[in-house]
Amino acid sequence: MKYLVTDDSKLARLSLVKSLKTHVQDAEIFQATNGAEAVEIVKEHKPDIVFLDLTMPVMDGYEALPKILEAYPNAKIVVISADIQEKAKEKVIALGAQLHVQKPINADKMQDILDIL
Amino acid sequence: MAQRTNTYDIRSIDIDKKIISSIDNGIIILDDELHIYYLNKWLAIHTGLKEDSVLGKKLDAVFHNIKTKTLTRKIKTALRMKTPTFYTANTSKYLIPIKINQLKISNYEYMQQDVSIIPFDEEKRLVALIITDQTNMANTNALLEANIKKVNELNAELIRDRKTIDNKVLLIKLDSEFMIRDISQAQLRLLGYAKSELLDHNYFLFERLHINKTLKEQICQHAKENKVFNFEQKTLTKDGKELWMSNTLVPEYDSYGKELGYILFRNDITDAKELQKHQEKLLSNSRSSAMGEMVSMIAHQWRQPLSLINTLVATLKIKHELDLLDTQTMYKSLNKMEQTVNYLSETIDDFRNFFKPNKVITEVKLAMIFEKSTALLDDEIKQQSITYIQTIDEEIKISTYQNELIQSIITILKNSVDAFKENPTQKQYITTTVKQERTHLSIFIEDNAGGIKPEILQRIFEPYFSTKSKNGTGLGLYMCKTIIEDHLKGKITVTSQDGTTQTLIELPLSL
Amino acid sequence: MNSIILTEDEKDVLQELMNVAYGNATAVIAEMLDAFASLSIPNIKVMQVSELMERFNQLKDSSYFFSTQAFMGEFNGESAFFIDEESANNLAKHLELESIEDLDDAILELTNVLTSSLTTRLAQEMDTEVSFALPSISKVPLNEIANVDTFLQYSQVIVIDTDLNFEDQMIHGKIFILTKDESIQWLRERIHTILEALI
Repeated sequence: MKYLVTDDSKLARLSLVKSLKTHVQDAEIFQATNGAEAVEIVKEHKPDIVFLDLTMPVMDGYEALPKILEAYPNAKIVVISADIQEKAKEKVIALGAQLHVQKPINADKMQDILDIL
Repeated sequence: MAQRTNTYDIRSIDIDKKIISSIDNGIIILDDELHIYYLNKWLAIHTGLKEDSVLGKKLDAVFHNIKTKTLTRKIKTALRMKTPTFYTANTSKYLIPIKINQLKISNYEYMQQDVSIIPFDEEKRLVALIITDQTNMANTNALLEANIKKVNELNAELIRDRKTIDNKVLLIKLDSEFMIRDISQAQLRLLGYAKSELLDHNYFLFERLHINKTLKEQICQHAKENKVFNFEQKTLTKDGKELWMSNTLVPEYDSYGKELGYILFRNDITDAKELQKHQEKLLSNSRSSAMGEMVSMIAHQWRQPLSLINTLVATLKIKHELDLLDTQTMYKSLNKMEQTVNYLSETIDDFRNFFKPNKVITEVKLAMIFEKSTALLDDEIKQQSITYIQTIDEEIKISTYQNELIQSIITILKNSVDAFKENPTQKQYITTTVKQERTHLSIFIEDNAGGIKPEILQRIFEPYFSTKSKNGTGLGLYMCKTIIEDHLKGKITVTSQDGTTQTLIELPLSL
Repeated sequence: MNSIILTEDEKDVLQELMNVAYGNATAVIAEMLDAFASLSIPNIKVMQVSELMERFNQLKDSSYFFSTQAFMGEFNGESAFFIDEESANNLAKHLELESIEDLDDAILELTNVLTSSLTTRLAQEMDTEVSFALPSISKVPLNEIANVDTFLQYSQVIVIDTDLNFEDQMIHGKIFILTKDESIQWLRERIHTILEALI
């Protein structure tokens, strides 16, 4: 399985990668620091699961989401965001995300995410 | 923290209830639709409500002043956030109306309250409202606010005054070593310097060309003794213009009485100095013109005695040639001549005296002043058949600069005499009356030499204004006014009607 | 105290923690206002107080309301909230407020919600607790910002500022979380603990 972790924060990426690794062995994990990078990586590597932050410089999650799906329609997108407004959740689901999960991510939450997917 | 309310046991609730009922705060437990679940003793006492009678009722139904929407919003927010939210007395004033029945002066009719809304039971959507009496605080705040307002107003006024002073008053602040600490905008403008060019410069060094050693010592001496000192000096503007400054050096203290240095208050007296110089020139001009007039008066005075001497000499000569001169006749003639020469000599002395300005104030009889003044005019008065009448009490005295007064009186009387030359009339007279008042005396001189036209009257005190056809310098009356008003601290007014002219001089009895 | 310099990693952690906390706070306010806010990336900067006052002064000109609230605990400091006049009016309209006092009250409430949820969540992420004292929330007249004593007590401050941005309702504000001295030290230690746990 290929995973893409997209977040402008190093801390967020680190903790995500760490909790992912506790559940998944031999995972191929790519990292991007903004939406534009994410789209490029998706085009090249076609990851199965894309973790996507919303608030990022250059290109934010809302803009990146449809572009990722366009580049690789089979990708499952999990939005990991601090923005827990109901409307934010509705919006990303409408854009094609599978899940909206509140930051921060720990091992327990990651288990739940992987179970659902 | 307050939100840790998930685990309760009965015992702790009992303890809490005891504490809650004796605490000096109001406590109500409400759900998010404002139904009352609990009311502590404090609130029951302050509102007069029994807990039983309000349980289950809605708080906004019990107290109609409560804004249902706002309170509900706050409760929901507290529950949602899981942290307390607040009303403060600053903005909300009070939640539960509780009348203040104390006699002490209060700005408020109702108790001012801070209200904390603390999540109590998330399941049941319950919050605890804790009400704190903030009336004292609110009163103190109101008082403080009023005082702050006053202070701010005073401060604004001070700033305005300061600005005005900075812009209008010439001042230099010096430290105790005479280094320039500050300098007003007005002074900078006048001198043409920027503040930075003068700050931290020594004042004496800056004014070294204009403050000599003696003056510097005087300034330092006064400063050392913390005495106010007045002095005048010249100063130069940045572009080299010379100005005259009158200075007042005042010691400056801070509010604890500690010496800060000195403030030099200055006045630009350049114009006044110019005027003074101008007046001095006028004065000297008028002296020489008065001198000229005097010479002509003396010539008048001398004509008679000189022709007498001439006659005596001629008679002696003829008698000697005819051998008719006896010793007795000769001595008689010589005595007569000696007398006459003495008189001439006295006239010169008088003349010299009157035109030497006095340095000291002396006490003199008015009668004597007039005797001396008229002595030089006697001859002309007689020649022109002017009746001179003088009413002066022998006892009236004045302490003043007598020669200046004599000179002024001569000028006025001479003007009258000269007026008759231009305007000869029947029954020509000059009258002089002197009256003593409580603090001053009035000298009243009147003639009937035709009077003065109004348009001329208003100009007679202007310098270089003259109506005389010849020998008029136009300085006589101008000088009179200057002398009487500036030197003798008196007043002179001239009026005219029906061909008569009245001059009134009022002088202080003592300078 | 020597000048504090935050490393990129430290800034990153703080920014992310703030992001999470702020997301929480915004959600509460969004619910309270029944509105949707767009979130922006928080700025983290160590400043001298003079620099902070300068920024406050710039905001002062266009602001209607300025309030502060202190928070206490291992992590302690002060929050400062600016809202401009247009936003305040829009807030009043949105909440259907009747009078100016109600508006002031609503803004204080907004400050309280922001500060409380922000700092509570921030503290929670850092495994500590903070508390708020009731009188510590107050409106500061704009012309007295420079005289606020508590600001002057700070020598250096970590300033975390972010925008409150309700596009549709046209409500915009600026929040500063200020913390100083011991708290900064504590904060850095905590950040390092968090980082170490991940590596």
